[in-house]
Amino acid sequence: MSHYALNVQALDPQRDNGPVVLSGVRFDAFEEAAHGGAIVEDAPSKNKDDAGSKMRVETRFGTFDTDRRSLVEFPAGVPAFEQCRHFVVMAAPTIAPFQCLHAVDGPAASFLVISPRLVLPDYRCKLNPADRQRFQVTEDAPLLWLVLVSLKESGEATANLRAPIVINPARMIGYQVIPHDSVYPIRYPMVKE
Amino acid sequence: MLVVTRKRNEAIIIGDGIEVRVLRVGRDGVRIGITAPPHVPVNRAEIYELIRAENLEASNSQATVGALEGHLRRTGTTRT
Repeated sequence: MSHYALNVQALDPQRDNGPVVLSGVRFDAFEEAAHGGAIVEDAPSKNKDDAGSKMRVETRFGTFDTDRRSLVEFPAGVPAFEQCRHFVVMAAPTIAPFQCLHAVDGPAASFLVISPRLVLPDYRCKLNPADRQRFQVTEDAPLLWLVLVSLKESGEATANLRAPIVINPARMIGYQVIPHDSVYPIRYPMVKE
Repeated sequence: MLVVTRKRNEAIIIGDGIEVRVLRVGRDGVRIGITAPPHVPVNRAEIYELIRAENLEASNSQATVGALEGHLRRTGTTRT
């Protein structure tokens, strides 16, 4: 497997055939290709009462304005942060092409994330039937795939392609999945040597 | 730690709907079948620990937006 530098061209919606935009968050769905660039406007929210109420979230990557409708439930948290049950995914020009996955409850958890396809253009990962059930995936629902980025002071950056974060925007449910048969490493170097 | 002895095809039930059944006992290992509700992920402990350690490191990385910009420059990435 060769190492790629970031390929931000894939962010171009014209090339990647249909990211979904939800509350300012870009969803690069690639598992199911049939959705054709739909805009999800009113995703079902578990917080109907305060849907749309504004939130300001401070992270080490900057301060982001978001709203409660953008909360994604992580029923199992993520490994090492099992108590964090609600996250927001925030995009901003200041950190593009990265995004910030930030826990709004539980211990402080904040991650830099990126679409795996920007790290490895032919990245492929299949959810097994149990995972699909966990996400309450409907047949043609696009999923948001992200991988956690570990960025060292030295500038070394690795992406965890082994255990992607997967979010079903239609249900606002997310898990960090650990596919049993994945061929990808936990620390995939993002910088071309 | 609860310690129980189980024979082949015997199981234990954990909480609401998690079943761990011994399928086969061999010389080098024990084959176990796990049934769990969809919202309960089941993983091998060693890979879970690796992911856990990597998540901690990713969350603790002291990188700031400034460092990020430097990194983006180094990798020759342009902003969209």
